[in-house]
Amino acid sequence: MPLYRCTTPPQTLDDTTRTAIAQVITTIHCELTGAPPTFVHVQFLDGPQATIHGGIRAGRDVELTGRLVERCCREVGAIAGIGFSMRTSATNASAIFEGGRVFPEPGEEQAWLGTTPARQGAGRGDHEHAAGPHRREH
Amino acid sequence: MASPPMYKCLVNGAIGADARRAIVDGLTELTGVHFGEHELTVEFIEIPEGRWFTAGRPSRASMVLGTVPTGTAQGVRVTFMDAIARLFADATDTDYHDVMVSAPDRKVS
Repeated sequence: MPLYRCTTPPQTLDDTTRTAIAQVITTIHCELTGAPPTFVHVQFLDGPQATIHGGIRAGRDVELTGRLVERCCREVGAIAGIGFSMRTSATNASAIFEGGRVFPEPGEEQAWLGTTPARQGAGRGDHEHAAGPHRREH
Repeated sequence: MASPPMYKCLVNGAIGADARRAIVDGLTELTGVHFGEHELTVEFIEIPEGRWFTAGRPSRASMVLGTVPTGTAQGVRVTFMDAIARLFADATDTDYHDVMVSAPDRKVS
């Protein structure tokens, strides 16, 4: 997280343009939120219209989200040479698992990065586990 | 009547039939064990090589998007997400740390 999904009609973008768009979206997101670049994912898919969907962590205020949308549409559109529409959605950090552990809340990224578990064998001791299988009665 | 849970697997590159089957079987088991739900839908979306970037550079990440029943305890959610990450990594022979999982509470429709 965040995950930005850029959809354009087939053959609208080439590799160079996609790279430039990925970099500008990363820059915009990091400048506005303070999140590290390693958090920012950008995907490109084919579809009927030029759209961007930004899946971001919950807890961002409306003004920041508005600025994200405005800048992404403007700057991505300038690179691609076409107009984009954009919408966002938000997910609680507690419901995101990345790098072997639960994602940090906005503003807690540096502490999270500072305790990065070792890549091999990591993850089992870094978070609570349920005592056993959990069943819900319907 | 609640809809069965749906999972979207955003795969970095291509994924073969055996891996898909392993993931579907694994998600079915995990969803049954953790939540008593035995019907689910799994969609695989292959992101072609060169179309997934992290930090502005070509990425090795993949992602599983799912949900959990509303009110699920955080400890259960974390165990569930961890198990999904390990399942996906094993099935696709990728690094567990490159697998992201999202599992918010299911929206009530």
